[in-house]
Amino acid sequence: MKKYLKVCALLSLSVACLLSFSSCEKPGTELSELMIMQGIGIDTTNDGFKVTVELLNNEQSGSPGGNGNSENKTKIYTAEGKTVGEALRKLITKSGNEPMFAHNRVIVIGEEAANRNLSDILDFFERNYDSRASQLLCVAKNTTGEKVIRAKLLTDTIKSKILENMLEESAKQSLVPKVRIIDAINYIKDEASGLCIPAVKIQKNGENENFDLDGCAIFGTDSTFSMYIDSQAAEGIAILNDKFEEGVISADLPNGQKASFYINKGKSKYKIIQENGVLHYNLTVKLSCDLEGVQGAEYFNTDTGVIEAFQTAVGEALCKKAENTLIVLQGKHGADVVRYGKRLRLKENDLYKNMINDWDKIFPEIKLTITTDVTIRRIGEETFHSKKT
Amino acid sequence: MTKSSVSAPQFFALLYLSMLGSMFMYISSPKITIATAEALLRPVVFAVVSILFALPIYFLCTKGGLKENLQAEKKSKVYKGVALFYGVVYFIDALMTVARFDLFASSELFPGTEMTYFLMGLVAVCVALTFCGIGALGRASTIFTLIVVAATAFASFTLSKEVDLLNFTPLFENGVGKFITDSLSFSIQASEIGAIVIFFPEIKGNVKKHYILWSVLSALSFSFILFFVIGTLGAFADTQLFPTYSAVTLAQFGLFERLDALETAIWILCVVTKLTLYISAIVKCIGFAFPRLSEKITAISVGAVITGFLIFISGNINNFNFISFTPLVMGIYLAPVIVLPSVLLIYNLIKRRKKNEKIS
Repeated sequence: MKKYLKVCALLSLSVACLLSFSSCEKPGTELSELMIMQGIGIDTTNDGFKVTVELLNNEQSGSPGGNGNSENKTKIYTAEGKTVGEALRKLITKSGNEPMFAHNRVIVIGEEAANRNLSDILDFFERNYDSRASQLLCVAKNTTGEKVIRAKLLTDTIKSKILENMLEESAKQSLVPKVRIIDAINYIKDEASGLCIPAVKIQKNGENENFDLDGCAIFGTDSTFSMYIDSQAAEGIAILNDKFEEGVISADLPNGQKASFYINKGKSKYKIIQENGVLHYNLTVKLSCDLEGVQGAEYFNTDTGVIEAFQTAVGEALCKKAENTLIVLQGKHGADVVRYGKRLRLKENDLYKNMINDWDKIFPEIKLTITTDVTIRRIGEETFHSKKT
Repeated sequence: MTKSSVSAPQFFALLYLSMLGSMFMYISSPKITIATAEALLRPVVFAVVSILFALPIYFLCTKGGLKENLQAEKKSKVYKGVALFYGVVYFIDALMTVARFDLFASSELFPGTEMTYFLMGLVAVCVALTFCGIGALGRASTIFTLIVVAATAFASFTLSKEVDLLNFTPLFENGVGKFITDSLSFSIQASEIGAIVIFFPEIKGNVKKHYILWSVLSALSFSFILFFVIGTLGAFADTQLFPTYSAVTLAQFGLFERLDALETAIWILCVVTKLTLYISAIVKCIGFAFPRLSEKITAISVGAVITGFLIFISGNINNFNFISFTPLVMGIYLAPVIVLPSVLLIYNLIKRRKKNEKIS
């Protein structure tokens, strides 16, 4: 009898496990009855927020390559509310399905919304159980979040996925910083730091549209939008943030040639000193890179000379890029988005405590010195003596 | 090893799992910041406090002759009273564990879902496991420990590239005094230590050596986990109800994303172990106070009462706040670790003196 009971218990437990082995489902809700969000655009209205969401068209997306009908892979809905949370919940009146934020890839903040306090926008995503802290953020430059989400791309695809890939890969190549909800909150909570969020604009391409990452939006220490920086300046942020680990850098060679290099490994370290009341940030960057291409007919005679010239040129290009970015950030509407305040707090806490109240005035006065140590790892498949005629 | 005896390494594997369970579902007090560099040192204080505060237990078990006294004092009202007190303390502990897991499950695993029935099932499983005895639980714990440690190490490995040293703060930024008070608050979460007194007759082997090893390993594990939590989340950790879980949600390995599902499945082992330990302790205490009661009926009754209270707590966050009230948490740590063993020590001392006086 005891053995029989044990077998029964085991079987019933197994059946319970078997029935609960269903992924991507909320208990009691079918997959097709969920609004599986992919991208959320946030804009402002007179008294609240407007959200535009790209959702998976569950029935169409369920079969590989779609089910062959003319339906799109995604659906787009818009709703309004006094808070972001309310607006998102009201989407149910449009789709009839339950919202699911766990798969959302990207949050696009419209330009007007960016002018509001960022904390108000992010609070919902920070608090919501279903929402992931690793969602990427971007700002819709000169446009609204709705227009970015509704952009008419050439192919029928998940637009938010394209945007997510653009943001991920560009960050990997050190073109723009990668800003997740976690990063945004960390910057906002840091009393000295501003925030830099990649900016995306819509480009006309005949009858269709393209996304174009165009620099970054800078937010001040009070989390309000202060200015845009262009792509050139945005590229220097990774260097200043000591996160320049991969990417392309173009350098001017002494003989007037131009060469491009692919950085495959980078390591940087800051040293902070105070001299005559001015803070000096000494950045040491160690890079390893591969030659990608040289322009111009001339070439160098000896390998050692070439390598040395390349190394010097890469170092100079890197310094120039970082210095130009810092000049922009130290400008009138700039902000400490490279966490110089936090670095000072970690290295010289007493000094930081004395300076923090005037950080907005101190940051523009900071002097930067960069020392580079560049190694050319590979030169590609072409030798230096393969003279072109 | 029999059903009712457990080796010292197995017993401390059980306590280690129980502590890991607390760490995975760690909720920081509003007054204590997680995202600081000194948070990594708080476990050191935990180890020191655990060793120092366990001195009454040590004296009770060694010089106090606990094993013999538990046999000799079966009818003693003081021993029975203390046993009942232990039972009450571990009942509150069990309730806190289930309530915290309820909050965790309904917030993170199935947001917005009523988890009471699931938790009733969990309590039922734990009650059934108490029938197997502390020996079986100890042996299972050694296997569970391997699984949990491997899963935690894997998650940490996948998180290593997400660690940013800028997420830390300067050491002792808010002063050493604040560090000490925060560390003490952090350290008083291991009320399981008191269970040594309850299960001492069943533990075979060098308890002292394994206890010290447990304290050190628990502290190292806490620091290790906190390093990844702070390194990956930074100040964001302080905005999260369950920061350890929030950090794990970032873990991914190659094509495999959302490893948190795997991790939480494994963490449940810790919760089951912790809860079973508490229920076993309660059953043992009630059994000491009322020897005629059947252990199985007691375990079922305890499970039923825990479930009843859980239904009351589950629906309102204020009730949860009440059972997480700092003085209560402090009380249920100090009572089984310091107060109750000290009461028994003093009682034994008085009794011995009276006996000596009679002889002389």
